[in-house]
Amino acid sequence: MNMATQNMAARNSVLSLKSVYKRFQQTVALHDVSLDVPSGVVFALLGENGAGKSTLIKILTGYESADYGHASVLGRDCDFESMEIRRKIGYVSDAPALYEWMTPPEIGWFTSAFYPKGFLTRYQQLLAEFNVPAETKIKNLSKGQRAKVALALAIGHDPELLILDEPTSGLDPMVRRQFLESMVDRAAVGRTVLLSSHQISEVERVADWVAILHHGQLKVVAPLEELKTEVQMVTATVDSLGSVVPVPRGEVLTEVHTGRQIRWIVKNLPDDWRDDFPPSAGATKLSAQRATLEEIFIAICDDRATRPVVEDDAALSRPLEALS
Amino acid sequence: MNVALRHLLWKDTRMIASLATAILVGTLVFQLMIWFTIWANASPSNIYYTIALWILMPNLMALGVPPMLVGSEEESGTLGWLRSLPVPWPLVVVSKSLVGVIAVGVSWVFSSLLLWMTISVWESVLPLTVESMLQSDAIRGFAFFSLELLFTGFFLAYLCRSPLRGLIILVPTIVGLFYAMQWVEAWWDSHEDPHHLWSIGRVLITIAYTAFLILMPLLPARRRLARRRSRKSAGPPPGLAERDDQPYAPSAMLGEASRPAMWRAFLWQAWRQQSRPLIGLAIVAVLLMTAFWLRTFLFGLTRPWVSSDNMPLIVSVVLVLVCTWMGCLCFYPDSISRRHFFLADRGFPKRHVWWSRIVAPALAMVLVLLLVHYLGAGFRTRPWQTITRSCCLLGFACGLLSSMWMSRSTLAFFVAPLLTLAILFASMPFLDHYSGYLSYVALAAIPLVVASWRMTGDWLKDAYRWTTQLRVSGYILLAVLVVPTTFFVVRFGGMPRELPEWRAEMMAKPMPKAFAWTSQPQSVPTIAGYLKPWLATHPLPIEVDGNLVDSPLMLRTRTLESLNLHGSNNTDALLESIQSAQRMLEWSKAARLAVLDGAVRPTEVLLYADPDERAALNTLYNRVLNLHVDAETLAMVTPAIEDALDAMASEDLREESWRMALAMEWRLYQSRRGPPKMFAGTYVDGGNYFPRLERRRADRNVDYAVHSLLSHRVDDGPPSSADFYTFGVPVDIWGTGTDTYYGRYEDRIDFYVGLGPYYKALIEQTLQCRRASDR
Amino acid sequence: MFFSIDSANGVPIYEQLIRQVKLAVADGVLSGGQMVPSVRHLANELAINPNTIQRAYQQLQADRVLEVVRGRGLAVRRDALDRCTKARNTLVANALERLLADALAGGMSAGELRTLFEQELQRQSQ
Repeated sequence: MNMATQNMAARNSVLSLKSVYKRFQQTVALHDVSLDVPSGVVFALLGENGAGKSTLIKILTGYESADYGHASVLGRDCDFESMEIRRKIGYVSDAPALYEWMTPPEIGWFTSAFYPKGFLTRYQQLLAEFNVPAETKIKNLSKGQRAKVALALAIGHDPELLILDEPTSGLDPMVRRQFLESMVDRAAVGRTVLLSSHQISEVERVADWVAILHHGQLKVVAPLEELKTEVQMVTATVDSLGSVVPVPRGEVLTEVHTGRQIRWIVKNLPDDWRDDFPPSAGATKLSAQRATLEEIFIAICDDRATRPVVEDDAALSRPLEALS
Repeated sequence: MNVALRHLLWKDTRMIASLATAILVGTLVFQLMIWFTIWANASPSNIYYTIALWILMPNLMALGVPPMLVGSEEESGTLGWLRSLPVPWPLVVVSKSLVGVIAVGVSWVFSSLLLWMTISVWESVLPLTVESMLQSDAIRGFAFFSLELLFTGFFLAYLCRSPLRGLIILVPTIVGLFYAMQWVEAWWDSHEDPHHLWSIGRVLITIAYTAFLILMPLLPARRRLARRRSRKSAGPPPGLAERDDQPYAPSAMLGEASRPAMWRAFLWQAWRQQSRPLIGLAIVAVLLMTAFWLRTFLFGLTRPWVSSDNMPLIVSVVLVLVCTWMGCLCFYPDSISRRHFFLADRGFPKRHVWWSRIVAPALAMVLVLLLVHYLGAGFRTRPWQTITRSCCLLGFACGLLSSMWMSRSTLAFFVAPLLTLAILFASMPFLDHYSGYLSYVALAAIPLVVASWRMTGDWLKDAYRWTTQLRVSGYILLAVLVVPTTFFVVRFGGMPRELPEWRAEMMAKPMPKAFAWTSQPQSVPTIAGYLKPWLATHPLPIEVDGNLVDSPLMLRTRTLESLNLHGSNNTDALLESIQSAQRMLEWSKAARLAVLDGAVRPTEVLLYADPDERAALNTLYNRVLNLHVDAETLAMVTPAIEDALDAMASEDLREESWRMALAMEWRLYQSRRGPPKMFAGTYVDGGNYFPRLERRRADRNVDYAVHSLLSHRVDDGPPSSADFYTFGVPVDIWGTGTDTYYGRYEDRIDFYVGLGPYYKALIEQTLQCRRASDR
Repeated sequence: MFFSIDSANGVPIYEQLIRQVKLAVADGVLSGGQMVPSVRHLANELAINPNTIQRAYQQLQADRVLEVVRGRGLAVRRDALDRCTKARNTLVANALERLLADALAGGMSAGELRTLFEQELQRQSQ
């Protein structure tokens, strides 16, 4: 992390993980994960299915406890003060399990017992805003309406941290939009949102910070803007198939060949990168542009992508590490 | 009260609502049926049903609350959602326990109210045994048992993830606990209580045990509700192993050659879903029946609750429950997460689906039936076996239908027993008078099975409309009606045919001269009256009180007793018993002669002379066979024995008198009007319904019995039991509920006409042998 | 005014916002003195991160296109029109630069380009 972000983290960390390890029998879910989420941001956690996102969230909400390492939310230890934590956070899982036989007002009334006053008013407002029918039992609601009820239950008590675990999977664009608006709204009033999602386009719109988990390890933790500025997509067209061209300087994440074009995803591309490609190199038409988040994600997480190893540059052959 | 607790209580109450309503409504309906039966039959033994209901329903509630409260939350995932809220987990447990206690309490109160109403109306006819059950001790015991059941259920529900597994483990646990409690109670009762310290200690221990029961579920609940703690490692675990992403390796299972046949595929899938709970239930049944089989060894014959009908009843109830749940297992695994849509969406044939679900549980049920047949055998248990088997079949069918019919799958496990009970209770008006009725309830299984077959289509598509519910109700009604219908059809359709020629023959048969007292049967002397003057000249060798002489029947009993005096080595005692035997043989002979004259009622020969003769011969035989008697004593008593044997009636006399007695009794029977009608001292027309048909049936049965007995030749030895018409039918003419196996041995008509001479020959033979060997 | 944000086209979102505001002012869609939506409101409407919007607004303030109106929020400066027109021209110039670079690198001659340009200009001015 650069200095600014480091300072911010030290100041008001809403969520903090230090060297957390977790394994389930033979599978390693999390390996040496350290993370600090500052307050007031929308923090996106990306990763493939099975990367460990849900495990991480379970550790934060107190479902599981880490094998080794320290996890804390809002300054409170996840192991010992999980009740306090649960009072202050809201959690929406994917496919939330609600009492099917209750109606939305009933479940809100039921939940209000566990939170301080004010829950019911806000919950009522949210239901009105989301346009959820009041008299229908939850088992008869559509998937989107259920998700909205779950969201309303989670933010009714104005939590300081809202954790969303793939909340919009399988929902229609209208509902997804409403979720995004809610997230954005929380951030606008200074609360923190931890979003674990596959919908990269959504993440690109709303996230401040992005972390990418791959096989239980954190590959990237950075503000989104920084990440997108740093990673570029370099395309080169070669004269003839099979001609060897040099690899651009900087940290090359992947290299893909299609016909007579080669494309690299490069981190920290120096400004004078074109100097490496004199006309004699056999490459015409060089261009560099910002990579989209999806391309970055795939570049980092795709195990089958080729990562060119340049023998004389030790820095490039080191395994990828988090930005720090 | 704490707001959180209040809301949790509301939520738990709402979850229980359907079960509680079903049970309370069921209680009321069953009670109404019982009242109707009592009113219709005016029979006090129906009060037992009320007691049974009073005990059963709250326990069914206690059985059902934990799976509904804990298991279904676990399955639907809402327990996980609750965990993400700031709800302190002990509060969740407290709320569920409280709701459970209240539900069971309400059920107890309601049932007790109904019981009190029943008792206060029919107080006068209350049987004695019922009174003992209504003592405060017993009531406390029952209530405590419900509590035990409830909290053990909670414990297991928290412990096992699936509610079904919890239920299956609960059954043997609670049976074990029940018997353990009995042992403890018995041990306690058997100890002296010098300083009354025991009673205080007992109270304390009861309180401690209750507290333990209530707090026990907290342990597994904590594991389920609170954070999962994993052991912290000391240091960071070693580095990541090289993750080798294997390329997809083709599995042998997916090769073309291994494509299964459709039946195999279905059966494999059904078996994999059903195997574990089914095996669990089967193990429970096996353990229970083994314990039953070994009960005399396990518990010792001195324990009162073993030798009484208590244990067979408990075992029956549990086995029927097990079979019911086996039936529920047929469609439960598919219903539980709507997996049947997998089958419906692909258009699998309904027939295959239905059969493949049924096969494994049906086989398990057959196993239970076999266990009952082989391990439950024994004297006094044959009717129990038949009844249990039928109820198990019925339970299975009810479970089958319920698991398909109920949309909330766990509820099916409690609706099925209720349905079984409902069908059994519908049979109640008939149970009192028709002893074989309960074995017919297995027939009710057939419409239920057909109903589930017809419903398969709707079930697969989950398309239950009101017409479906109507059809199912129709089938259930059919099931209820099929039993009495079949029973009565068989009963009246199986009447022997009329024998007009034989009847004419019998009516024309000449009767003894003195047989003119059909119009005034009261004036005929009984054997008592006949014996009295005879006894004046033939005094009995035993001591009798003065007034006993006037009561020959009592004399008879005393004489029978004296036959079995101990001290067989004592010559005097031996002589006394032999002489008593001689007296009995003499008066049998006298009675026979009297019958031939028409001077005595024919029943006396059939019911008294024959058995007495047999008893006397039996005694003589035993005395002679008894090897403890030394040769000297034997030599002394031999003359007495020979005298006794001489006193016995001759073969011809025996046969003739027996035939005449039968013919006379038959003739007398024709003039009796009834109801009820009696033949030779026993009621022959039973049953409360269709009196004219019953009478006709009784008449025909008597005709048939007498006809077959009379045409049977005495020389051929006693009729074999395989000879249905001579042996089976006569037993059947006793149409009442009196079970001949439990009737007093002496009161049965003796059909073993040839047995007397057989024994006589045996005795003479043995005497000769002994004389020969002693020389 | 309506914004159209494309999160995946390579241009940062705040940059897109800035450009669209400036173009709107240059086109007259946003006139001097007109209020712009608050950060929260706009974030809600567009479903993008409020920090991004904040950054865009800050940049616009630095570029002297928007100004703070006490108690009410941000408004377009009355003298922003010239600046925005200049900005628009810069954007057009940049676009032209890129276009010419592509065209020339692709092998088109200056003459072809000029002919194309004249034709297009004529067509569009009518």
